[in-house]
Amino acid sequence: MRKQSIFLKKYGELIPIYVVMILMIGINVWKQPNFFSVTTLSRTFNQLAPYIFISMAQMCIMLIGGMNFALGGLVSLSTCIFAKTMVESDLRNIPRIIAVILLIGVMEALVGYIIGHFRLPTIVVTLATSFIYEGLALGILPTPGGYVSPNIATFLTGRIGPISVAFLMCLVFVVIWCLIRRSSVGLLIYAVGQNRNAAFSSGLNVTWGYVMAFFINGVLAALAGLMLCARTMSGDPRIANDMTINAVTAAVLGGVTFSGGEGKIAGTIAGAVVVGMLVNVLFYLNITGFYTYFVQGIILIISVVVNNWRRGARRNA
Amino acid sequence: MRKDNDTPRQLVKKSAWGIIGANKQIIALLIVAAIFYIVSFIVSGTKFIAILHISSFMALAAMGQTLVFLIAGIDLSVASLLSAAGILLCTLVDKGVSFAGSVVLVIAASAIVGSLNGLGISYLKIPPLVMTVAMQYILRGATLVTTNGKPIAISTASLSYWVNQGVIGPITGGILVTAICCVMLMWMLYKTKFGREIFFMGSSPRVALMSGINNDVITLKVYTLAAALTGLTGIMLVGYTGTAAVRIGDSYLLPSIAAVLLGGTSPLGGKGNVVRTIIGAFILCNTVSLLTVLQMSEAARQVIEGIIVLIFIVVNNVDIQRKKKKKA
Repeated sequence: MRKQSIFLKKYGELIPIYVVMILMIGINVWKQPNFFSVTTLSRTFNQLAPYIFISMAQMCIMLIGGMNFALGGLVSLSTCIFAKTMVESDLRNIPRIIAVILLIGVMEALVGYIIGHFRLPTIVVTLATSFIYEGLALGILPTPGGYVSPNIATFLTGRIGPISVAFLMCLVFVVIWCLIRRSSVGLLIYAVGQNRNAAFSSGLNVTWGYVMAFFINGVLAALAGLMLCARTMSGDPRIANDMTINAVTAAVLGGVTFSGGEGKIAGTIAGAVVVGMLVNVLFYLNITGFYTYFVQGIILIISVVVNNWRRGARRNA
Repeated sequence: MRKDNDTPRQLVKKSAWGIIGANKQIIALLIVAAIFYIVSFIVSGTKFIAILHISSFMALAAMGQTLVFLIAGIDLSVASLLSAAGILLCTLVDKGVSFAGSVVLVIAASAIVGSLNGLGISYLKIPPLVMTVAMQYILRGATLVTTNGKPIAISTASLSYWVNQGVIGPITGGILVTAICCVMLMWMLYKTKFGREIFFMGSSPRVALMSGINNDVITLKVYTLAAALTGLTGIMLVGYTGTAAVRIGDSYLLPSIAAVLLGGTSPLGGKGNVVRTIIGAFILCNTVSLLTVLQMSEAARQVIEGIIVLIFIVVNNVDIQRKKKKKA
């Protein structure tokens, strides 16, 4: 067999999704000549940041096996809590924001504990929690509204020098994920996802793996909620309910598998960019309104089929 | 337990206990259902037949889901398919197709949607959740484009009358259709080769495959049958509400899954049946009517429903694990 370079072996499967991503960006540049200006770039990042966070959150759960069906509801709930807890004084807002992010993380960690301890199927439990989160969101904020501090919103959607804050936040959390991935927790998540029984037999704490995966998932979902809050300047109990499918599509496009234990952050982010830019591209193609549902469904099916086919081809090689 | 030197009286006693012992779970479920009904009757005074009528639609929507759960799948396209079936029925009736003809056409169209689900899941190896979610989006897009999001009223009042009024004594059309479907499905599950193959495949797809069962064909058939049942439910819902709207099915998606889980059908496949689902739907409807009478908001109702489902999942699963330990 011909020797391949290590880089190609490790990241070769990500080439197609990056080609699609560059194509998407290309269409945007073509239709929007000032795409690379500082303001347009930062606006694009503000639009993409929630998709990137929610896709990373979905990736965490898919890596350990299963998928989080409640993710959209959770993001909506977090926007409601943010909009409800923020006050005028920004000095008091910062600890509040951190507390809300941790609260959402701990809530999800509890769900992870239930799934890990009782050995329940992830999909069914998250289906039940999606009920609970959507109900809670409607209970906290029946109609879109609430108060989001303008200073915080302008900071999050603005930029430091020429670099957008949304981009920096994504970068920071990607770096954090890369560190987690190389730590014992990351290895635990991948090990449980690959083969739960083998992980248990080797003396790993499977329940802890679920707790950590769901905790990270919750924190990322809360961050997606924060970015949405900053962009819309309000909380909305239904804003992200349709984003669950987008997150799954992004992760699958990025090569994360449903059986768990396989997938890379680099792919997921490319997938998230593609999914996030899709709205723009569909707009340029004059596909609007009701047809987007149609296109989203078909793209999801195609991406899963291509992913399966690629994995099959690699196994046979 | 049974010894050869038992007296006839002892034998009768033992076999009576045997019947109760074998159906312990379903009896427990019936007792829970009875408690739920009595509580909701005391609080709200709703008649038994009225609750049965409401729960018949939920039970019908959950029957197809039960079949899919038995082969360890899940069908989320239910929500959009219910709406799509209703809209198709109204459109066909408006276009002048005879009522019976349009019912047949709607069920056939639903079955085609289901077979697409089945094909994707079995031959393209798409996970059931993803395939059916994608189908849900495709159908929602299609229904929104055709109706522009507006509800359509049914032009024949006879359907509405037949579904909601007593057909045989106090038994309404909704209850009647649900009962007939239940009997037919139970017969199919327990008395035909296909039914046994469903259980076999659900318990262990690998063993089923090695014993010469074609899992792909079974998957295809089950999803088609489930979608046909969903189409039928869509028609009944048009009769129940009098209109067909794009979002009408959405409120039936999670309850249909909840009813299946409350009845103790395992999401891991191979365990459960349709009667359990009907009892589950009955429990759920009692809860809903109870919470409505207590003037809970829609939001609080959703949270409580979610918590009840979560508790039932945990309880059912603990039971399964204890059994496994006993066997080991």
